[in-house]
This record gives sequence, C-alpha cells and structure tokens, in this order.
Amino acid sequence: MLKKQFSKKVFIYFLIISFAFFLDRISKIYILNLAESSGAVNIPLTSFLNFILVWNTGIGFGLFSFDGSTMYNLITILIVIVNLIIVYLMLTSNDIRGYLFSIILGGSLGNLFDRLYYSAVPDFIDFNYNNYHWFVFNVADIFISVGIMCLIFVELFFNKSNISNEK
Amino acid sequence: MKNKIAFFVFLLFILNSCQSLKDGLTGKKRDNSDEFLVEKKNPLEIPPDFEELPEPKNKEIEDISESIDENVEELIDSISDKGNEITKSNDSSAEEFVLEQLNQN
Repeated sequence: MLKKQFSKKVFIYFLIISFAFFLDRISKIYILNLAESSGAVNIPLTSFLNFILVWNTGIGFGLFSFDGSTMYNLITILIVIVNLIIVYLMLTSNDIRGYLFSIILGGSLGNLFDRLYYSAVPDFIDFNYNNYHWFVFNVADIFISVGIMCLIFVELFFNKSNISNEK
Repeated sequence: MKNKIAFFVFLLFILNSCQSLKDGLTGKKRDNSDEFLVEKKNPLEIPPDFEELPEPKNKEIEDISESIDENVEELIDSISDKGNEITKSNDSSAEEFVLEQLNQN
C-alpha cells in the first residue's frame, strides 16, 4: 500500500517535472528559432514587456559570469549536486513541499540542459517600467522562483503551526 | 528554520539564470586583464650550432650564377647606353630646329 502510494507520488512528481521542463524547452526553442531566422531577438510586446535574447554563463542575477571554463565547469558541477539534493528532498517529503521541489527541479533541469548543450542559458523575458529593467529571465526561472517563494512561505507557515502546537 | 530559508535563498541564486539586461547586451567586465598583454619576444641571436652547419661544396653553381649576373649587368648597361644616344640625338635635332626657327624670325 505504502509502495503504491510512493510510486503514485513519484509519477505525479515526474509529470510536474516534465511539464516544467518541456514548457521551458518549447519557449527557448521558439526564441532561438526566431533568433536564427532574423539574426537577433528584440520584440517589444507591450509597454512593459519585451522579448530580448541574452545569454547567461553565470548563475542567478548575472553573478559569476566569467570567461574561464574552469569557473563555469565548477558552477555546473555545483548545480548538478544541488539538483541531486533537491531530488533527495523531493522524495523524502510527504507534504506539499515535495510538489514544490518538483516544480523547482523541472525548471532547474531546463537551465542545466542549456548549460550543458549551449554552454550558456538563454534569457529572453524583459520586464521594464519607466526605463528601469528587471533582470532578464526565462520560463525555467519562473518555475524556480515561484517554487522557492512558495517553499519559504510554507516553511514559515508550518513553523508557526509547530510553535502554536508546542504552546 | 533560518537554515532552511537560507538554503532556499541559496537555491534561488544558484538555480536561477536571470541577468541584468545591460550585462547581457554589453558583456560584463571581466577580471582578466591579460587580453592586452603583449608577449615580449627575445632578440634575434645566432644559433649556438651555427658554425657546425656544413658549407656548400658545389662551387660550379656559384660560378655559373656569378657569370649570369655579369651578363645581365652588361646587357643592362648596353641598353642604357643606346637609350642615351637616342635621346641625345633627339635633343640635338630639337635644339637645331628651335635655333633655325629663331634665326628665321
């Protein structure tokens, strides 16, 4: 019975990871095809949203964007290790956190695939307001950010309930 | 709880790949300053085993090349002499023509 429940849980995790990964891949393939056909991507969609293709060789928020391959490989190895930790946390979680970890893992695998295949991650969603541009990101980043934000909220909420139970 | 939240923030930084538009378009300044470093080359020197190199043994080839050089020089001199004669003759006839015209006037 427990084994069946576990396999069902893993199947749902797999579906969530696949959904996040393939949605990210489709969006990136679409943008890269546009870039191949027109040379560059710079599409103003609305007054506050543009599609503009930039490549990131570092980590989040443009950190560690170096030319050296050693640093790049070290970061990639670190990301692989972090992904394995997330897989472990996902499989050992018995509440909503497991689903949130699977959302994060789906996005993270999308970015990891680009790091290995293109040696850089394509970013293309550019939000701006009054000429102030937020960091350019992609669909995988949305999944990762939303998953982590929700995890932080859940952590805060669960801890509060634990504290109230202790009282 | 603090450790967990710190870990989640670490995940946010390490797994995300967003970057600022300016860095993405212009390329971030690199710490590596070696791109303009010019490698200094050593001055030219005679190789250490230069004197051990074998000398050319076939002197006939040198003689033939010297004789060809001499022939070519002679040929060039003869052509230039002829050219001078031609120009001199032309110059003299022109002078005579001009003097005749002046005298007629």
